[in-house]
Amino acid sequence: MTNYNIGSLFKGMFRTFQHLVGKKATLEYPEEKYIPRKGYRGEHRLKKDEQGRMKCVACFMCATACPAECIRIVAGPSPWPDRDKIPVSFEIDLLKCIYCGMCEEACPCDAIELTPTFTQIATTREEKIYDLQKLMNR
Amino acid sequence: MPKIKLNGKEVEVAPGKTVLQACVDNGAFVPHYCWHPGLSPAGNCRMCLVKVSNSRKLEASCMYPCSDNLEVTTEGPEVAKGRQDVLEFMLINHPLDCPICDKAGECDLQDYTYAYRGGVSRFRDKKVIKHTKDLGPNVRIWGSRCIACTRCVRFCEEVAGTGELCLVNRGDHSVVDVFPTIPIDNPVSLNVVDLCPVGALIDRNFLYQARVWFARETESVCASCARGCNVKITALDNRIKRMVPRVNADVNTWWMCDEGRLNTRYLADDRRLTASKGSARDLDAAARKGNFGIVLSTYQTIEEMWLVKRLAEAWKAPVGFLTLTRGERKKFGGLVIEPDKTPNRRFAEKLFGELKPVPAGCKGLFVLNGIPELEGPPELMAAANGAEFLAVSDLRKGPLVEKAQVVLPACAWAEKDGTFMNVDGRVQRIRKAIEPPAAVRAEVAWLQEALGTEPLSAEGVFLQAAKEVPALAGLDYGKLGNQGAASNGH
Repeated sequence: MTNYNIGSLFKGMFRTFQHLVGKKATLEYPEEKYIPRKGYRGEHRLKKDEQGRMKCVACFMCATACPAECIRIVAGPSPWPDRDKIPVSFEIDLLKCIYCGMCEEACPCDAIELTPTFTQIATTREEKIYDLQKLMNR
Repeated sequence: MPKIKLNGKEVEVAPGKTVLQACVDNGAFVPHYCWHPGLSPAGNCRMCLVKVSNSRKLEASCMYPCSDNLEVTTEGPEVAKGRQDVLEFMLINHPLDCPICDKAGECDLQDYTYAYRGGVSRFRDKKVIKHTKDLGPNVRIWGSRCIACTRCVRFCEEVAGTGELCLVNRGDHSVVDVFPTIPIDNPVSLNVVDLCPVGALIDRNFLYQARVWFARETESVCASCARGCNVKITALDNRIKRMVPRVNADVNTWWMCDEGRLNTRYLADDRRLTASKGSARDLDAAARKGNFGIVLSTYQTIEEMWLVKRLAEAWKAPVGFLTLTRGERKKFGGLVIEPDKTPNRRFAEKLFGELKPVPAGCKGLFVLNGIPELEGPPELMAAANGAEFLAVSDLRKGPLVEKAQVVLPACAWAEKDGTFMNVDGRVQRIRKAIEPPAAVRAEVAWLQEALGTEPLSAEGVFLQAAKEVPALAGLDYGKLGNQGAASNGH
């Protein structure tokens, strides 16, 4: 007797039919907006505390953890009494960044975060190096 | 000589030595904070606990004398538990600010905590907060980080001899402080920062400058006086961030002076000479016309001096010297600060005999000035004004450089390889810690170009010099190592 695998055939037909009438996977981008899943690792931002000051204390843990070595910090003394050290400059080279999220994981002050923003427009390489102001105002 | 049994192995110890000293000499690891080989033992940190056969409890090895047939155990669960408990007490008031502490990465408390503690604190009360303030022009204290080991206090009393620091308050409130209106401001004050096993005392010049694990360390020699203290240069992003002493019993023991430590700013000076004018071949052509003089500073390395001597012989030119002497000889324990503020005068004397003044009345003059703080002394300016042709090699722009037809920018001592001979005749290596400004070449390269010989590295030039200069006979870079070697005939 020849085995026609009728059962598997019908199973496949059912799956095809399901996709024909079910929810479409294709997104009409950019007319339709793509909303990334929770925990998506996009562009970085530096968080602020309740008083609007930067949370970062320039401990270099993110720069130490970074496998792409794209974080460059210059530290200085803080003007506020509740902390010793703040970043004078904080630069992330997004061209080098591999969006692994290790900086966020390493941060002891919960100051750096990867946002779901995945669109980046830049016409020069310099624009892709985000400085302290740009990272704070996101 | 008492014989002790150290971890089951019999070792002989010099009389009068403590157990910790015996352990250190025989390579048995014992963690410690308050003990330092250059200071008197204090026995207050209790970290160096070991098991000894004479006692039922653990003993602080830094204060325990070696007696005959003593059995010492430095490892094992009992000793580890003892150290763990001591650390737990220390960490009661120590803040968890390692991420912003400049000592992190080279901190003994951090290292031993990582080695012995589980990382959990059982302390549920409030920590004692102590002062954070400047103790002097170079030293700042974070009192809360202090573990009251008193190394810094003993250093100020025993080595510096000034005794500015003291321990104030009692119990867990005790912290290092200065007396009102008397800041710590002695010529060796920054050694307390190196001595501090935690991040309590911080160099204000190094504050927030670098995380030490990113920085690169190079073993070199300080060039700020004729003593030639052995140092480690910490550099980051091609900038010297700090210098710390290396141990060398024959030169500087454990210490170095603040002046030498902080004398690095001229390397990144705005007035740094970076562009050359003309070439070494032009210099050679001009010098061969005759009636030529050479002015050499005692800041140049052995290799450079030897090449200059060969040039002087080829050009039949007299050699005059630029030196710098300031202050008087000062002694702090095993450290001597010399009044001669140049690193290589001793070798110049061995090579050229008595140092002659700047030659006057020459038609052409070649000035090799590597002394950072010397800019055209009057006799040099007079000789330069009288000369038709002037070639200058200097670190910084100045009146002499503006006049010169040939300008060959100089490398600072941290930007090249070479050797210095210190005041005792000890030959020691300097190593390149940072890159010189672009387009600045090492002196040995263009001096050999002027000579017209095969270009050799500094090491090759040294080997050549060692063949001909009796004071260097039998030496090479391998023999010098990182501690240097006494020169021949000393």
